[in-house]
Amino acid sequence: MGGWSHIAPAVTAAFLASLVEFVEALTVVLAVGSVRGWRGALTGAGAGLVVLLVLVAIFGPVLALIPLNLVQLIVGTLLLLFGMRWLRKAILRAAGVLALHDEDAAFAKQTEALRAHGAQGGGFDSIGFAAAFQITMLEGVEVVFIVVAVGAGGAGLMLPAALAAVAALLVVVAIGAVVRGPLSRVPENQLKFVVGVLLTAFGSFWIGEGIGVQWPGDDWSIPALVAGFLVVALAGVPLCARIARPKAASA
Amino acid sequence: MKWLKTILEETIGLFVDDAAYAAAIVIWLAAMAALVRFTAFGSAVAGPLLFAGLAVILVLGAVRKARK
Repeated sequence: MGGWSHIAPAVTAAFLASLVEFVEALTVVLAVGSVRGWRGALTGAGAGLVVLLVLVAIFGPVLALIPLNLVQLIVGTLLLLFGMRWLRKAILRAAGVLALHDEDAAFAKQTEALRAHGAQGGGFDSIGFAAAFQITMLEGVEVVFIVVAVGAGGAGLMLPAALAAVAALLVVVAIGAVVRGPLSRVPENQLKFVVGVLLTAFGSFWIGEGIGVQWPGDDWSIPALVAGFLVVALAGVPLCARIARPKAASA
Repeated sequence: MKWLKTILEETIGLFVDDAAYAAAIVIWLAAMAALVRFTAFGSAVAGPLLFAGLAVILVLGAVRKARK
């Protein structure tokens, strides 16, 4: 446990997943800031981040008190459900069955929705605060789950996973401060595909550990599972595209 | 408290957005756990079987959605 075969995929999964979620949150916070003013947007996002840090501070140590096999079984199952949900969506997006996530469109939609609330008064902007707080919590809960889940599966993984998420946050905030617009050029859908593969592989491995599977090659099964799920997911893309095309043509 | 309800719904939705798909995953995991628990050879073969079953569920789940 704790070797590079564990740490590298855990850090990569935590960083990329956090990057995608923070990019989505940034879009809404920018919309709030540009329409309602920056005070409500930044205090709302800041309050959301504080709540998320408290959640990590609570759940991280609590999970450390539970026997590792049980944690691997529970967290592995949740991680697998989460990862396979992401991966199926990523396959369907890549196949053209589902629409790709578009940050520019999301920004325009949020801006319009916030304008519909009318002009901001002179005092504290509760609408701006609530919108920024809610999106930070919604996207951040996913980050917290991923960090806690990939961090709890093995000794010495929590800190690298948490640092990877913090690094992703800093990268998104820094780029957002420079660009001052939605980060629509970030290849979110491809990142989600990769993250889905990594989380599915991790979840499978930890469930296996939890139920007493003897993995061939021990920890080196993780990269093998990553490669296996990647091949299967990539093969699923043209298959779904072929199925969806005649349906679209006949519609 | 609408935001709290939204956050709770979103949290559950992180794991289950399609009951049949989630059930298929959990049933396969239970089958693999039973294989390891109740057979002598289970722990050696359950790893590749776990992967194969999940791969099939993933592809069939995506195909089912694509057909809808």
